[in-house]
Amino acid sequence: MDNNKKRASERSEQTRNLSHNDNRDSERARQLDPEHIAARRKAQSEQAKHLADSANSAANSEKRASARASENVPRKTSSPTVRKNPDNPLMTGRQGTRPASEGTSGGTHRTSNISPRTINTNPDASPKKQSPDQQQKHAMTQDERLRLRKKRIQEQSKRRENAFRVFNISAVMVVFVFCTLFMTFGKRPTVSYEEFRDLNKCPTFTWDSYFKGEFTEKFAAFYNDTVPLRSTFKDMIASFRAIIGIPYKGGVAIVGDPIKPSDDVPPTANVTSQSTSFKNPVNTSSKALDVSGSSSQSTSGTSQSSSSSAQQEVPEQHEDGAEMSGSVLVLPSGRGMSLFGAGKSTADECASYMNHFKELLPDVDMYALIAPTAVSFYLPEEYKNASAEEKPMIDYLYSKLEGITPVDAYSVLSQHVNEDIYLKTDHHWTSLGAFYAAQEFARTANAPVPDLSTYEVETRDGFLGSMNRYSGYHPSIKNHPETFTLYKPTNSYTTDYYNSDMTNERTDRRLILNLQSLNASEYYLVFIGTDDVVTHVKTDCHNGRKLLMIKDSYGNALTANLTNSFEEIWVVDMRYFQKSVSEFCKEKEITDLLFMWNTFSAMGPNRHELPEIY
Amino acid sequence: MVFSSLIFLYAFLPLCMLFYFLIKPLKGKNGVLIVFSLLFYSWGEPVRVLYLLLSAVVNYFLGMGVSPTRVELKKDLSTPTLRRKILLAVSLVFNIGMIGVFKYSRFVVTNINGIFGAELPVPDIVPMIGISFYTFQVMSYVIDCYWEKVKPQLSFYKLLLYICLFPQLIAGPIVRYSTIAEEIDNRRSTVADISTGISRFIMGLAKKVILANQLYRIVDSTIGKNDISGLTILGAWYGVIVYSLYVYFDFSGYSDMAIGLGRIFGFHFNENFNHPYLCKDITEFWQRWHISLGSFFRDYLLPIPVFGIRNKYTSLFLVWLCTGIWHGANWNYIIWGLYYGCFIMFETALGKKRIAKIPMLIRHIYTKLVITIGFGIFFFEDLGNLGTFLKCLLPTNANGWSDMTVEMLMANNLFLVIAAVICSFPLVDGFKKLSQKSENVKSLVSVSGTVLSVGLLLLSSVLLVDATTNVFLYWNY
Repeated sequence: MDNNKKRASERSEQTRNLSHNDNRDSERARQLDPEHIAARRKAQSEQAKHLADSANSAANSEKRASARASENVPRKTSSPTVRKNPDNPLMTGRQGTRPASEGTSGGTHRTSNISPRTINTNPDASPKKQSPDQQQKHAMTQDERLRLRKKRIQEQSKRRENAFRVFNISAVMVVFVFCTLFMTFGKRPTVSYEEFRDLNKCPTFTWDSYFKGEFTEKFAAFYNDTVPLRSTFKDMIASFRAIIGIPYKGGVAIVGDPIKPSDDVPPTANVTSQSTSFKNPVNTSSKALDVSGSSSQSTSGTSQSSSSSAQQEVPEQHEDGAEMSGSVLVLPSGRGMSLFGAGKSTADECASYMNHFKELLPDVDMYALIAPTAVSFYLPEEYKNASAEEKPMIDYLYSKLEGITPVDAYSVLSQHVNEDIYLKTDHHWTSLGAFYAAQEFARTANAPVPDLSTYEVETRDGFLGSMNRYSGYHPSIKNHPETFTLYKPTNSYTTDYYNSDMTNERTDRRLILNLQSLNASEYYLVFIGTDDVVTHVKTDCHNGRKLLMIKDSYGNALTANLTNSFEEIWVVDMRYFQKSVSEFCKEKEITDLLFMWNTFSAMGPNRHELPEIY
Repeated sequence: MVFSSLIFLYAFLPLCMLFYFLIKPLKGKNGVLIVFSLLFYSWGEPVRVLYLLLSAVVNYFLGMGVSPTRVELKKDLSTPTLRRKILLAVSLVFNIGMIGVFKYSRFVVTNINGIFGAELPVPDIVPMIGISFYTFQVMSYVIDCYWEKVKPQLSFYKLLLYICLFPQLIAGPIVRYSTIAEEIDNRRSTVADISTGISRFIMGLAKKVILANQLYRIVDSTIGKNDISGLTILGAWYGVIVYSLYVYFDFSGYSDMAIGLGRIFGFHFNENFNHPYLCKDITEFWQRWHISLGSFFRDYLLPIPVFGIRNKYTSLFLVWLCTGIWHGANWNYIIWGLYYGCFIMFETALGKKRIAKIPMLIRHIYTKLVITIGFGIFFFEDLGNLGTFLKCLLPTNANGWSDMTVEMLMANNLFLVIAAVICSFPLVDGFKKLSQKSENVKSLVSVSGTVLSVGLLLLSSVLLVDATTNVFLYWNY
């Protein structure tokens, strides 16, 4: 109780001393804030009440009475005057000036260019008014004493306030300096495995690039892209996004721009912001390549050159991964799937491109395998309207084909929905799904059909594929890494690779890489590795049939399954291949040609790659 | 360069502050600020510094030219001399011409081609970031010189510092010369200044990065879609309401950062936002929203008679037309400006007394409705999309009331939007008021303020690692 009173009285004295405030800065700082003025005015009137109350309470305080008995008497008598005189002029004085100041800095616009400093004279003016009053009412000595005490307390509080300011500055500065050092000297990553790409590189400075503005732009991109501990921060961002809301209906999430299925919007219209390209695949798969028994140096040299040429000629949206993305639906169980949305016009276009190949090469047997994606089989019933159906679009496309045999992979896959035919954390199918499709293709093409029982099975845990990044590292996916099961045919075959322009033949990569050596986000690269190569497989199946597969990355998993069915297999990716397919087929005496795409490639922007390789 | 980027925060700013506080004389400090400001402005496109310098040189001489000479001052002429009038005209033509060429030439030529079928070559001029802000600043300086409100700055470097000072260079507030004229020559960063400045800057950063950038993700998935024909009623309303919040936090966050930075260097800029969503009528909204722009137009444009008539309404029309045009070279901004002009004229016609009689609830609903739809107009640069969007707002929308994606967005961002709504109330003032109560509360508020600052700085920095969500609203200004 005593303490409280004491504090109250101290406060009151301090308040009165505000008028004596000679610290211009703090006073000005406060006055500059226009909203603050109103707040302060109100607070001051409250404090004035406090002042009066506490003056009384101080008078009644026993502690004080005993300590300063002599002081107490005049104080008591002066208490009513304290209430009236020293305060009221102070209050009216302030109130008189304040509305004007309010108008100056906050209220109306006309006057807002008047310097706010003009208010400053007010606090100085009021004590002058006040002090003669006080001198009249108080004994000189006592007034002096009181003032001294007040001054001391006031200084104390000012010191305290300043201490808090210094604390504020130093606390922020410590963090700030730490972050600066961290950003400047921290080890910057060069690749992002989660995002499946090389990070931006630090540009070299030339005056030319500086004046063009390229240097600063690239440097900023590099600086922001290669933040030390980047992947940790990305995880933190994902966690932050998960806590700013509540899960919808048990945790289903749609990430990215939701696609409204409509006729003319290609499904990957919005990929550019999200699509990332792994422009230098060697960096990431070099380990795998090493294991596969090659000199990594030659690989990196050649592969780099091929990928750089791909960079120049292939627009960004056609890089791997851009086959999908757009918007992704994430199930709480940890499965992500790209939502499909394409119209008949795109299917028409794709079919006409394919028909043109048949016109150019009437003697080659042609097949089309348009693979559905996970959304066809694993989209919960209640979200059916979030995605267009793939089946009718595949059927429609097939119906437009002339002289090309469709492969009904959809029906086959739909019989195996309960098996793991699609990866949960990746936009690809599994090794098993690809096997079923390959089986169906071989059956359609009257080629020997592979048998799963002869296959070797290998598994590896911890896979977090493309859906992780497409979903913005959604916790449902990030926290559910899956087991990757690899089915390897056991027959014998040899593989060699070329760059996408058919130069630089090499035999240093296997058809199926070493699964155990791949990074957690790239297990699917186990098939062929990257898309920017031409793959040539010679098998132990001697039926004289030579297959050319024009594929997207879905085809990679299919290839090994066909080693039982064709004597030679050429695999080219329509996004990278730089030769004419018709010439190529004649040159290599191709007998069978397979178009192997998922629906997103066939009916997305990738279809426009086809006329480039007629 | 923008404030809300890691490279500004942890490379540019530390260097700038290091030099600024190491060098003691004010001349040196001003030099540091000029060098860093030019570096800041040249980032990404060094050539544009030349235009800034050109503007500074021309207006430096014009500022002296339009001011009365000593002889003229002695004569105490009641009207400005012809020389001053001509030079003022020159400065207006030059400055408005600069903005016109860089910002509007494309728009004007395209429209002339469109309307008259002419085939003028469309100029390929990239709008220069911040040009509207610094040109307006320099115009206010010259006009103030002409009106003898301020003395012309005789030192070129000091005027250059005023024009290019990086805290307010690219996204305002539009600082009047009179506001900082004295501080250019004589200022001191006190402990209070630095402390307040830091807190203010971090508050602005958090508004921009934690609220605005995240809110924009919602906008992107609703009204920001490529194809908005499928918007449901809820989707359209939710999107545009979130967009209104986004614009406020983005813009006021930027102003906060500017004011905070200025404060660290000892400058006291005027406030630019005063919790606009608390307004009770549209007139009040504009007294709380982008105050420096509104006051610029009121001070420099309102006195101009339109077609020789000095009428309240014609002046208002001019002001709001210009407000619209200022926001961007596109029809939707002009519509947006005039849209507000209509409501302001309506309110002026109605009179304050009659407005005061309307129940508070209705006034709030009316203002928020006008503001929200206004930002819808502001958002869609494509008038076709704007029409589609406005139709989507109506109950006649054929896409129905709601769909799954909107509900999902609402659920997944529930706390974010609630936090944004709460933060548009004057929270800081509340705490300031609270801290008046007692010394202990004050200490508590101070310490928690510091903890909050540190936390927000760290969180903002982490969120900035994801650069794809870092949108910048003012490329066009």
